[in-house]
Amino acid sequence: MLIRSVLTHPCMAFVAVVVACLCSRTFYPLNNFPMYADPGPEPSKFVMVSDAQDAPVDIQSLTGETSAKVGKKYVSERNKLATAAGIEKADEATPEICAEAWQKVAQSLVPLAERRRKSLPDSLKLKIGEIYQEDGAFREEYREIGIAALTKKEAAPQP
Amino acid sequence: MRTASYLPSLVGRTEAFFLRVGLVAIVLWSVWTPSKYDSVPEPVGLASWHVPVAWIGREGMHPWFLAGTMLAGLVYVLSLWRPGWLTLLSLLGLTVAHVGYWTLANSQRNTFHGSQMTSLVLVAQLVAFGIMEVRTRRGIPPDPRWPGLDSVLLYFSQCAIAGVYVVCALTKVFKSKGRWLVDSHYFAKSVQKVWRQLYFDNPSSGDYAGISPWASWMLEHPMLSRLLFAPGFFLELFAFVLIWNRAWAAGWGIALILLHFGISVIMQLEFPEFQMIVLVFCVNVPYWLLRLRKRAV
Repeated sequence: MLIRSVLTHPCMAFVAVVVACLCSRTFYPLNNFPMYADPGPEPSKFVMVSDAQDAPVDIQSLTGETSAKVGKKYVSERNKLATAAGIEKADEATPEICAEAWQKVAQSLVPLAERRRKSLPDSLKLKIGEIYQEDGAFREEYREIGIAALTKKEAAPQP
Repeated sequence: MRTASYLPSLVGRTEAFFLRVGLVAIVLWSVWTPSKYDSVPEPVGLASWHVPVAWIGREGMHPWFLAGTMLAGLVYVLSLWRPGWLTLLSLLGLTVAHVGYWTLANSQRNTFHGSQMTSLVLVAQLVAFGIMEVRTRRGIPPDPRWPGLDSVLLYFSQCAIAGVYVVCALTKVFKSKGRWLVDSHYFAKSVQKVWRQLYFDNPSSGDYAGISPWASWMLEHPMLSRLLFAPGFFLELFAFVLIWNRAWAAGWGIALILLHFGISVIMQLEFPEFQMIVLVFCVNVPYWLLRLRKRAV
């Protein structure tokens, strides 16, 4: 009787949302909201998209995608390729896999720029920046992932 | 009549009208701009079950999509005077529009959390409608637990909101193995990371170059940083008080809205849809104004 009374209480909707979100992890709109959940000394990462000459590109105004989104897409693609290659830890993906992942993501930016009638450079380079917090100071390091040659359907007008 | 704790509050028709208008306004605001995407490279949610969502982003589709969402919203508000299948259809329409639009956006190899609360509120309202419909068809009379459709719609919406915040806090506890508060001074580099990301969005503008003043301050004051983040964590963890009663919903809701303002100032992370949903269903300004008016009369 007590169990039935508890289970038919309307606040079970709250319990259901919590359990479903924690269990599903990511099944839109269910999510366990993992952002900023594990602070620690590990470096915080960001991405820089540049042209072949290392000049940073205004990726958001050209494609509508923020650099953070480009970074997430790259990580997702790299993880997918690493899994397909049988690599257990995606962080240990080979440079070739990383470059291939970037080639795919960079190419996927082309139609986004075209829809905005903007033109991307012929090549896009991806660098991952790492920020370390040590002894009361920040330290930054950059690592090049790859350079992608872009295939464009047609010449889009210049921004 | 005073409502017992953790039970749905009685919702009158005027208040229900404003709640429905508020939800429809948020859904329309959320899907107002055409989707940037017309394919699903990495399907999530319903898209992973082969439910088509890419059509929402096809060229020329958005005006029709928006018109359909507006129609569903209008019917949802008007069905307050004619409850039944019209409420179900319109609520279903709003849910399909919002969940579909954001499933498409989240199927692009990256996750965006800013709209999930609205989608969850819509799904929760659909479930609430289903329960109330079954009770009506079975001839079960209203009782304090299930007093009426709009009372339960409000209550389930609050449950979804509270659930999202509590999940955020629990994930922090689980992922950091209980060290979130102790290690929260490390958010200095997270703040700086966001600063760098914003700079590299449009580097030619020169905005966000150098070091974030907040990151710099946090770097110099680790203990104060921990104290700065602690209230936010507890606001999330104890968000279940949102369903305690109206006063707690309003008070905690205001605190959560302020929390988001604080996060947007320090970390440049904005969650306007969360704030609007909390404003409508927790702070619930029309209810308090109606109550003041009633007292004055």
